[in-house]
Amino acid sequence: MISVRAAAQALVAVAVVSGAVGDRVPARTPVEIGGYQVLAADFHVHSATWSDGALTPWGLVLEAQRQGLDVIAVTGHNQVSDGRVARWVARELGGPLVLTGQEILAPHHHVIAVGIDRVVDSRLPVADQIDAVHQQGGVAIAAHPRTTFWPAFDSTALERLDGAEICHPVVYGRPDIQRELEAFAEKGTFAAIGSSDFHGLGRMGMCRTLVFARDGSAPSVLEALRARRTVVYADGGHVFGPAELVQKAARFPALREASVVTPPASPLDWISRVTGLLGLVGLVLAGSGVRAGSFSAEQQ
Amino acid sequence: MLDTRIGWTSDRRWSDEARTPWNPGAAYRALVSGGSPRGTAWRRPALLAFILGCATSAAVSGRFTPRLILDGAIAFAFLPLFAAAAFAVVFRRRRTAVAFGQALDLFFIGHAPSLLWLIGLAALTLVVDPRGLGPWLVPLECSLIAPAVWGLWIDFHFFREVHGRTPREARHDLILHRTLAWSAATTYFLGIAIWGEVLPQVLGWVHR
Repeated sequence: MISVRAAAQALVAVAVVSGAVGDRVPARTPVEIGGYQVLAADFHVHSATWSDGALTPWGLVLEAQRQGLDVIAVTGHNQVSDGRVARWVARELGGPLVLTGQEILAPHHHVIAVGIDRVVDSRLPVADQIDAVHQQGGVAIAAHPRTTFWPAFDSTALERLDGAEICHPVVYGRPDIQRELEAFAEKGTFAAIGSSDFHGLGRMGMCRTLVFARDGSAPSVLEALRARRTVVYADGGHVFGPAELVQKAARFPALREASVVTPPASPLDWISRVTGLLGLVGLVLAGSGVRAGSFSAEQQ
Repeated sequence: MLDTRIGWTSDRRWSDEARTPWNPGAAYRALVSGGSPRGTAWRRPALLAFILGCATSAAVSGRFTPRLILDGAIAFAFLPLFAAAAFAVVFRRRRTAVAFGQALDLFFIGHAPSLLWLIGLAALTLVVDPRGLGPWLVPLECSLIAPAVWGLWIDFHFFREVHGRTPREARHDLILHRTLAWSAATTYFLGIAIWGEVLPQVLGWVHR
């Protein structure tokens, strides 16, 4: 007779095999608009290495491919080492483009530094942090700038800032937070940025930035951010970015769909989910199947 | 079958993880007398790493894929490693009749509530749309208290029954283990952010 544990192991095996079959890099057609390549980017991604993410730096690269992203920035919490590892892996694998970054964590604000190689001191005033990012050739983005962060960004900082997150997972189901991010964006002329702030819960790129770059290289992506050539599709049918680019992007419905729609689970996914959960419960709770006889307190 | 006098079943159709959490004192008394096969010290830490990997795969992609299970297991390997290392420190402090391998194997039974919590987390991420997970974050973090406290209770009985400690010694061992394992895991996981963000927030609450 098959033991419950053996059945559980078989269920887990079915889950893993069906999951593996469904785990493919999606086929994508490159989009060019007005002489620019349109690149799907997520500039706010964390690894499990000192930044409370759930994947290794190389795992982030592989997952970015599966989520149809052309560019990611691995933004360590006040460090850049995991970004360097991810960048090296991506170069070896042939993509996607990985930009080394840092989420500059200060008590009263967070800034995303993209395209830097050295750590920016989080104790500096925010305007000086932005200058330090620029000195390294990077761009500075206000991370999830809710009202509590606003006082940190004085007029000098707002002038120097390159971008601001206007789509972030915190806005889903929270129109009040969406309005906060929009109100911050009105404080300056920033590139519209959509970022998943990926830590492992949810999907990488579920908020993403469409970058209108001259080519797929790092300098071109950073130049496009400085020039504010970005479009972001956000929750509730909102779209942000320069009107001209928004109009042109509207002719490519797939761009919008990839930004705001989570692909539905396939039958294979459901097989993986159901068998996986049942199998894991079985693995933890099922014993060897041998009835060992009654254990009594007197046997002690 | 359930022995009503001690509230613990010896029916081997159920795993040690299923039987022990309900009456850990009686369960550990029975398990330590049964011994463990050789070379089994790594089994339960490996099971914890595997289920951590499965939960990661479910949360990240909505399916169980070998790529993400392996990656999640590697990314979170620090949890079983730090737990085992801290246990080794506690184990060496006093003489114990049980061999280290068997003791480690039995000690990791205390992770049973965490394993069930992880499976619950995986189930949640598989049924809730990824864009709807935000409101679940705080309840999820709060719900971690349940397996943490349950694990403390199980491990207290582990030190009492398997290591033969007095209640006071068992409490000391437990506190030492958790202090070592949790502080190392927190420092590694939150990393440099601990100094930049977490500490100032904690100090802010203290000075409020």
